[in-house]
Amino acid sequence: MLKRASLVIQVINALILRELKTRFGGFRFGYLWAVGEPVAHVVVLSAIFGFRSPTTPEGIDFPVFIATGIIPYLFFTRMVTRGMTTVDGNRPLFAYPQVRPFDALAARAALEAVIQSAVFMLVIGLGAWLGYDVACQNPLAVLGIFIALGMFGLGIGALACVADTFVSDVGQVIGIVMRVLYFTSGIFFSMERIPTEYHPWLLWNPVLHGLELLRESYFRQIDSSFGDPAYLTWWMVASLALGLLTFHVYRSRMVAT
Amino acid sequence: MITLNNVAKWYPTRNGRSYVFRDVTATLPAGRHIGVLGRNGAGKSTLLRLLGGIDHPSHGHIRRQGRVSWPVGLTGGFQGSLTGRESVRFVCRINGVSDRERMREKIAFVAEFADIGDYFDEPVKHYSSGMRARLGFGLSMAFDFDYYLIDEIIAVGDPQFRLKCQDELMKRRGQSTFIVVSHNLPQLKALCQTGVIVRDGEVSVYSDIEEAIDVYQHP
Repeated sequence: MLKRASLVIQVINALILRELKTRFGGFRFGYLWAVGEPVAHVVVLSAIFGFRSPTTPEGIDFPVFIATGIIPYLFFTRMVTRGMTTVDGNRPLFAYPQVRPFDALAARAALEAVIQSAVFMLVIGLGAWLGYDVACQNPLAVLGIFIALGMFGLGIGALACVADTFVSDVGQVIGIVMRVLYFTSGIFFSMERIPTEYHPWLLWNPVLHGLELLRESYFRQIDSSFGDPAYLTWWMVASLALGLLTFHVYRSRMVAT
Repeated sequence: MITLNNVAKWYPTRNGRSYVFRDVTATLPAGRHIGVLGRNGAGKSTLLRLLGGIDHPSHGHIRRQGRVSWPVGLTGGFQGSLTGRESVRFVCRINGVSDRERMREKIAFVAEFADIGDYFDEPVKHYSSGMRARLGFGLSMAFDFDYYLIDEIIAVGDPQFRLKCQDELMKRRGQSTFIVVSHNLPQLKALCQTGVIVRDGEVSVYSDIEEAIDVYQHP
């Protein structure tokens, strides 16, 4: 049993190292891109909406507001898309019997969590260095919600990975859904600045709950509470349970050629 | 010893299940090299994949005692964007070889065996099929297994490389058990003692390879 566990850890470790090679190895400034992408979003969105935006609560620096939205959002979508392509991206490696789909999924999820957490801290650090007010009110709660969003993404990603083996259009659908979520999850707006009549529609979106919750914990300037922890948790638990269960049930079907 | 208990393997197709094996119960003894006979499409390669644990039975189970290799010379086990060296490292790690010294030994062995020069540090996707085969064979020979699954490997590469592969295999003849798929009957006869015929979704084991070849040729 212990031997089995240590083998699994070795396999996951090998897969993480291989993911690192292929994710960053191909580009000269590979590691820089991980930070570059969210920074580019922050810069572009700040330029569009202006540095003092009417969509942001009083007293919050807009770039910091964007950063606390885009990075958790990117974490979520990365978990979905990386999870979805887990089996396809590692297919040749399943020729070794000790490499199982679940190991590949775990490796990707672990690596993505580390990368995105590091990116979050780096970007916030960069903001502080540039003189923005990046004070975080409740770092522990922020971390918890950040992880919850990632786990939610992992569940959806696992589910998409299974679905992808049966219907090849899944990638297209996920792409569209992620694009819609980009505009409706509150990356560049706060619920308290949105007319109440739209609230019932927007509040269906669990990612929006995540971002609202995260910012309510992050900024002392926000005292509204639109994010519902129970709602986000429900989505996270349901997607994880369903995703990992179907992933387990179809593990050999996904690998079979 | 590898035992198959009520193993069935099917693939889903548009017209329902397509069976490769219906209900196979067989025992493959250790210590005797096994030659696998069968026509194209009979399921020889599927049998090897099942034995190696790369593919799983749709029904029933397979019990293995001892370490079973992946199909020797397997050329599909490479991630295209990893270099040859990185691929060797990966396989070392998943086989529990993680200390630097031993990993360096394995890398040196594979590099020397594959003998592909600077390509060893190029991504595998830039390899020719011959180079892949060389890397794949070198990699299988770098690890010690109780069972080697050999799928037509002796037909790979140029004549010199083929000889090198045969030599390397012969060195292991004493300690390990070979399970060989081949259409080259004289070669099978020379190499193996036990014969297995794969036919009509069934697997029959003959303790004498000559008997198996005889049955195979005159059904």
